[in-house]
Amino acid sequence: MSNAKIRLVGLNKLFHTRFQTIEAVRNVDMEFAAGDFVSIIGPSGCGKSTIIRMIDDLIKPTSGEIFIDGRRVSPHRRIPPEVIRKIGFIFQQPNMYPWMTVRENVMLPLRVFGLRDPEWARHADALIEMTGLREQRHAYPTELSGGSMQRAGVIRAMVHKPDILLMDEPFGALDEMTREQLNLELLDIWRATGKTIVFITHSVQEAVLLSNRVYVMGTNPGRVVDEIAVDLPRPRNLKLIVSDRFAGYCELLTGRIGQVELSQIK
Amino acid sequence: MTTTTARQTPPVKGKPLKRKTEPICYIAPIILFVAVVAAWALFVSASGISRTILPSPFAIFREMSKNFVRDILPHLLFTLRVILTGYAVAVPLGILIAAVCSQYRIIIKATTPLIILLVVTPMITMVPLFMLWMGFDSKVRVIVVILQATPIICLNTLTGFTTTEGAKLELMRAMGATRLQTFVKLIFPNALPQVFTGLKLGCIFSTIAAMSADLAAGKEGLGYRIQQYSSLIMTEMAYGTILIVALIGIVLFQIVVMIERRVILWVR
Amino acid sequence: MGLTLEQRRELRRRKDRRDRIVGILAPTFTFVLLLAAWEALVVWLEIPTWQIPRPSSVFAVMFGSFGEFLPHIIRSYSTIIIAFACASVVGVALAAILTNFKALGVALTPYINMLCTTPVITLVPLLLLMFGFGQWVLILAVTLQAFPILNMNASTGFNNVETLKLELMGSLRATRVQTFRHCILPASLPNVFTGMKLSGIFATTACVSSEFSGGNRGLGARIIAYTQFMKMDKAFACIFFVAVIGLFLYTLTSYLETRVVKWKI
Repeated sequence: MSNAKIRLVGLNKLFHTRFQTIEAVRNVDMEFAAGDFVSIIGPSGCGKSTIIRMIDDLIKPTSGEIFIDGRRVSPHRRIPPEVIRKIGFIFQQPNMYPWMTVRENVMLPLRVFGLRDPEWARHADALIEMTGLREQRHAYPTELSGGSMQRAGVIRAMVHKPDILLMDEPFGALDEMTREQLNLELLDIWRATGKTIVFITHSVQEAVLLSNRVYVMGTNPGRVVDEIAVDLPRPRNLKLIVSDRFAGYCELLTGRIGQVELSQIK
Repeated sequence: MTTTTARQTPPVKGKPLKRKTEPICYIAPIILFVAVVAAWALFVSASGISRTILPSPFAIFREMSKNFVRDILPHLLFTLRVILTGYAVAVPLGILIAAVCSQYRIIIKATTPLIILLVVTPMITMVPLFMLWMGFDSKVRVIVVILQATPIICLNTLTGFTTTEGAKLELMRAMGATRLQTFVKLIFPNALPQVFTGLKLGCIFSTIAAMSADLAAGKEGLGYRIQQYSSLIMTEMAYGTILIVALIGIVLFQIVVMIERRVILWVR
Repeated sequence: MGLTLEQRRELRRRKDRRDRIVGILAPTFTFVLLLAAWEALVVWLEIPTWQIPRPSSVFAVMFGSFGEFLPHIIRSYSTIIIAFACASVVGVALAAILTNFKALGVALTPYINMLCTTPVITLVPLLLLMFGFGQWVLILAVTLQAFPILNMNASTGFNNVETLKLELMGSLRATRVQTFRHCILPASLPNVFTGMKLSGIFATTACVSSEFSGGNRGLGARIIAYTQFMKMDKAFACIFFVAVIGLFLYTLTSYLETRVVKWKI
């Protein structure tokens, strides 16, 4: 299936520390179709952050290949700029630069990419407006709440209109209420823009609520142990959480992860 | 939908990789040193520059090895004693003052600007006055070193003492710790990185202060020798002695860095 | 949370203002107290003025004989300020270069750190002898003494930027210059300013001690001359003038820091 937006083939990654070599990721194959919303779930240390960083070329794979839009981007000496601009990366922490105001932070990718056209600035302002950060656009990140900061982090990753959003446990550090709120906002964004989203999480509920498909990963070494399609109606909202089918999927996923962990104890 | 069989595999044992201190860190400066000395020697002999401005590195080495024991060594020991005595007094003094000052917010506010004033005022300006009061005593130099090094140690330590996280302080209070316990168990260890910054700067300040004091109150010490050599146009010896002083400072600095690595194990 | 951004900022500003007032009053009070104690001790113990002058007479001389000090003040201050400016530029620029080109940094850094403790100023007499008594020789020497400590601090800052912050730049494929401009430099500004404060102190010390050893111009030279003639009030006045420039550089840097590092609360 070569029409996949992102394709990972036989990805391996070894990390060398002072005392040992750790096999962070072993032989991972994944595929993400255009416009799909896919979660990767697994216990800590299963290499999910490593995978998403390899897709964005922040970490080089030890072996294996990565294709974006059918084009091999890794291993590759220099990734062409038009491919880079297809990706927006959202970190676990908001990772706002404290020396820039919210608006400056959101505009940062535009400055780095040299997109000077005022149309882009208007686009940025529209995103700020959409997420309700207008009041705070000239505030410094330290003056914001955690939720607002992560909102800014999300729109910063979208400001250059990427096709792909890579999200590394973006809402993991937030409280439950804010997290649910941001999950719903993210679903709205996804529906409106049709971006391909790769979402990393360790919350089963979040994975089921958001995604079409979930990759379950295991540790030691980090590898894919299962792939589960979530066939729930869209648009989804919080009412879904109390439904039986939702609970069923959660149970299935929890079971899968539990199995992985049990098999490791043996 | 297939489940990959979950096999337990131990992490691959590789050869342990050392952190940071790769061989290049030692080799590069040595290569540079050799290259610079070679270029320097070549430049001197090719351009025929007067030895009073830039003597050849070999001439410096020759002169230094000839005169070191007789001319430099006694002064080296004297200067070392001045620096070390001054430093040994300045360290506990600076930390003590900081500890006392940090106990009350109002005292911190009242004294910090004064400590800054002492930090920014070169204490060597006082050397001629001290000489007037005390004569050509080596104590003058020790006092100057103390006066120059104490405030900078004190200032850094004070910053460390006053920036303890509120949550950590609350923990101590919740456990009913006394003021002294809080200081010994929390504030001091918490401030150690800043204390060591102060100690490192103290090394540099002590060396510089001892040298400058030598300039104003001469008869002994390496600073005095440098001055004398340059007035006698013994450029080789002047340059050589300066290198020795630089080595003293950097060796002291590195010793403190080594102690810091042994003491502060929790940062990285 | 009920407050708007403006209201919260206003509250903080008010608190800052209160803090600043205490921050000015308390040290001023201590300072006056110390001077009064000094004055009282000198009077009470009947210490002769040629040994320790009274602070009141020092101040009287500072203003009364200002014309006598002025050329030396200009000489010393200009040396210090020009050298400080040069050292700031050289220190930061060099640190940027050394941290960006690893091989160069590894090779050069130990020597630059060594320069921190090299008494360049001891060379001043020799340099003056060779190049004449031009002020630029002094400026050069003082710059050499002042920039390494800034270089050291700035390099530490440039080398220790959080990985996460750098990853954002990596994810945007920023060029080296962009990464430095948007991420590394702002992240390490606190280190740069600390380095500048230290380099200001080094510049002041270096200038005065080089004036001790060479020539008869500048505040350092005047201190020696006045003590030789037992004019202690004038010697102390010179020391105060030196303290003023030291304090000026320190407060200037602190002020710049609060202006530039606006995001720190």
